[in-house]
Amino acid sequence: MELDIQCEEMSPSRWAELLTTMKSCKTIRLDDCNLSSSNCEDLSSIINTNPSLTELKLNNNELGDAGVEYLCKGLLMPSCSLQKLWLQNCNLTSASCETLRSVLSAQPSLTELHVGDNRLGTAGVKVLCQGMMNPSCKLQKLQLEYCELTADIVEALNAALQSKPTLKELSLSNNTLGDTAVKQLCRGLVEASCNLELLHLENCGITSDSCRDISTVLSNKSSLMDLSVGDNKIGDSGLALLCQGLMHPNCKIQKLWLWDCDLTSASCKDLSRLISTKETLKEISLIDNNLRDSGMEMLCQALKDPKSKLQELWVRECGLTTACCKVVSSALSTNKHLKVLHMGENKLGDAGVELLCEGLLHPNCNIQSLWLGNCDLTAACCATLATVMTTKQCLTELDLSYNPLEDEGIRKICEALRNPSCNVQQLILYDILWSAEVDDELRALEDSKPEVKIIS
Amino acid sequence: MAGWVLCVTLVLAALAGVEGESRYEKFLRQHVDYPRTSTLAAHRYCETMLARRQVTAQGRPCKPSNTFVHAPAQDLVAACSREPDASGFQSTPTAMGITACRLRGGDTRPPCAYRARQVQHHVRVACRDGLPVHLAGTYAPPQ
Repeated sequence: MELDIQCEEMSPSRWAELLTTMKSCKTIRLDDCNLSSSNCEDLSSIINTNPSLTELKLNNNELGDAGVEYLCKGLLMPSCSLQKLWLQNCNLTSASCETLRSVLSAQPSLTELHVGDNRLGTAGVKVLCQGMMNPSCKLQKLQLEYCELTADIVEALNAALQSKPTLKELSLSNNTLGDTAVKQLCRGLVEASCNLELLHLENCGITSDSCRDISTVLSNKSSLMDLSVGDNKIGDSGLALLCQGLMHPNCKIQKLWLWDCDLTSASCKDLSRLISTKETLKEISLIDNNLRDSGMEMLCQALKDPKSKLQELWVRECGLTTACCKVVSSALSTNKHLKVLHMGENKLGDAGVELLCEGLLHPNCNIQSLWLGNCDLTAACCATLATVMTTKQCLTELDLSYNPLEDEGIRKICEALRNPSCNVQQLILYDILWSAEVDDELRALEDSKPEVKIIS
Repeated sequence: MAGWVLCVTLVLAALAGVEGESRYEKFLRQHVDYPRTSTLAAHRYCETMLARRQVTAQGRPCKPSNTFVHAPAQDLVAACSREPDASGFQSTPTAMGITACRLRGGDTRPPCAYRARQVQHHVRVACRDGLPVHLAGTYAPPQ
């Protein structure tokens, strides 16, 4: 039994009604429901009396330290077998950390703790780390984004990591850690016996200075599958250093997030080598890096390599134009593995999309999800897009948001959607202006083909 | 008579959910927040508002950008009686407080994270039957 409610203000009668339901739920999600510490008293007894409850998500409610105090009373009971606890943006401070520490030390069932977007601070999280040191703690996932942490936290974190071979996922994004701290963290990660699978360090004040140490983590931890250093100014020199670790035979990276990293086309030589040789690499995000057409062309050469197993390529807002579309098309007609191609916010134009469609139509191409939002497209390219939609059975998702397609263009897309050989299930059309008649046509289409979702 | 009007208003209000809302109502839902909602964490205005207004949700890709206007609806309706520009859009006569939400992150899957930018801008809208139905963009007041 699952309870999943978002953005709903709870009246007392509604709350009482829900409490009865909650007694037998396995998972409870009450996101942004205007809950407060008084609701936590009730939740505490639910936690206490519902032995099947494994997941509790209370993000975006002003529970406060007092609320957490109540919750933890229930959480500390031996009957509690909660596995996943989410308390993001709940107005918690370091004062909550003492209670959370006792939960960490006492509840071996707790495997996930998400407390981002709370002003816990370094002092507070140091206390959490102490809880993690307890051998009873079997934490696997720890999320501490936006917790106002500073460089000083790393010593305590490293100590906790040393003691926690169960830890698989660590997120410290959006904390001003800086290079010195990140380097120290990397050394700690290499020494720790945990088999870390996910490491997120977005917007942590990292520069190329840290990249050698991050590289060392990559070449030492074969377990690491998911790395994100997005929103850090690592630059081309930093990327070159990262690639040393990424290319190492020990590295089994699957998902690599390098969005907004100040990369240019100069990085694309290394990135190409990575894409064409690292067969474990499935997803790469390069959003908001000025790769330009020359950079994209290099990436496309890599995609043509049969060793490339990349499934998802995110190159939104990369300074691409019509000029790169021919090479992209050529890659699409050779590459069979790519499933998701995200090229929004690039000035591809109608001519560019016409070229892309040639590649998309090739029998080798298995693209399932295609994103062309805000690409300067008009009605002129919609006939060809319609052909792709009715020819490529593999295409299930198409984004054309923010393009001035006008009624003429939308009508052509609708016609394609109505075609029984079109398998598009999700059509994304954010912020496009169309007439009331076309609006009705879109609604009628959704009614007649219930498997199709038009998102706007 | 007043009772009947009230009744009709309530019925209409009940019907105006996301299902079956008019384009003007959708415009208000996605773009008008007046007075500006004060959110639990100030840096999460976009995340909170976009979720509450059902622009972002589980199963929906994150909307890459969205603007909220902090002015009464009638100020935007008033723009519709102004002279349209070359593209057929109409601008508000005065600049108004807006929050421009821009998606940040490596992909467009929820949870959606945004960067908020608060400025005083003129708002450009497309109007149909005297009501705004589309937010075409905003621009800084000419110096």
